[in-house]
Amino acid sequence: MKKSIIAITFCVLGISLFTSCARKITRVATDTQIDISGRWNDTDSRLAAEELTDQILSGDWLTNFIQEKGKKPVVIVGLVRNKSHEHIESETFIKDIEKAIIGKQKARVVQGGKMREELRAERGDQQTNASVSTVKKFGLETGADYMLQGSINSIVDAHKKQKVVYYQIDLELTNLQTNEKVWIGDKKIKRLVRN
Amino acid sequence: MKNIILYITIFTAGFSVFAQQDNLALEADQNPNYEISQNKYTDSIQKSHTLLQGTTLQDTYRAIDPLEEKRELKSLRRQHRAQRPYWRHQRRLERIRNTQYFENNTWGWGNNLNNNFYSGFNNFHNRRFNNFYKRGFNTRHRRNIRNYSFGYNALSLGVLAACLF
Repeated sequence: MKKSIIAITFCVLGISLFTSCARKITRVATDTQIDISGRWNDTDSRLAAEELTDQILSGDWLTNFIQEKGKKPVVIVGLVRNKSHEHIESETFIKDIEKAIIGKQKARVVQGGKMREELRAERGDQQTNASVSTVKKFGLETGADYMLQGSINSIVDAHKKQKVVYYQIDLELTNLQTNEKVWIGDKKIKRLVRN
Repeated sequence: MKNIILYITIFTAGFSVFAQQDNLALEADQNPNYEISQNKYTDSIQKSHTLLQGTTLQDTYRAIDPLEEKRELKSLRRQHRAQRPYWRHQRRLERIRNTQYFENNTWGWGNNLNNNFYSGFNNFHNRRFNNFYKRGFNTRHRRNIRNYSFGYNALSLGVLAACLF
């Protein structure tokens, strides 16, 4: 009797130990706000994308261009400088903005950077490998009218266990012919962290 | 004379036509020296700028945050603590690789380098257990060439005796 009680106790203890140490993972909605470390996270990126998309799509530059040229403007995404104190990847919100511009058909977006080089390399490859009727020609790319550039800045104020972090994301749209800035959008995030 | 005048006329006419064409290529209010800049920015060297399009240049700075610094130091200490056994192991290996022989025979016997048996035997022990002597009582003589300690001589004598009897 005693032996069986001891065995059961050990079993229960063992099971409870193993179950308490097991890692638990749950799927959550991508728009759920979860702040863990107090650093830049997906919620900040999403908020920045939403606000900047609204700003860029409601800007006067779009209507002005369409009235002047009678066609939709062509935009290329340039470099975004992260001058903050954290590693922030701008692609997370820049892609959302691009997606909104293309999805709402307000402007045209052309490829740039390394992806464009890849496209050109493929076009070069087609010159010798693809059938004549399907070969894409060089020199027929669409030239961009505007370039979207940006910067991310931050200010940190920390004392003892409290910290205030301020992020400012600025995006600028510049006319490639005249260097004229036609639109500036920003998103400001201020956060209080108590440790 | 007539020929010279003809040539001059043709040259002047040609030059003026080319100059006019050049002027026609310019847009209204376009800088006539635009080609200098154009050549500069269409060079292949400038491709590095276009390759960065759509990316993020990480030009971050280190914020003043005492709490964060404290955490980083703590983490660094932990890392060093975890690395310490490995470093000690490496140090031991290095000591074994860089063995030093030293003189320790104060008894006068067994110090005969011509005696192949003793010298060979002791050399074997010196090679293997050199770390012990390095740290132990023999540190004063560690720079010397050979070590024939009493302990090992006694041991070798014992082994010899066992072999003989």
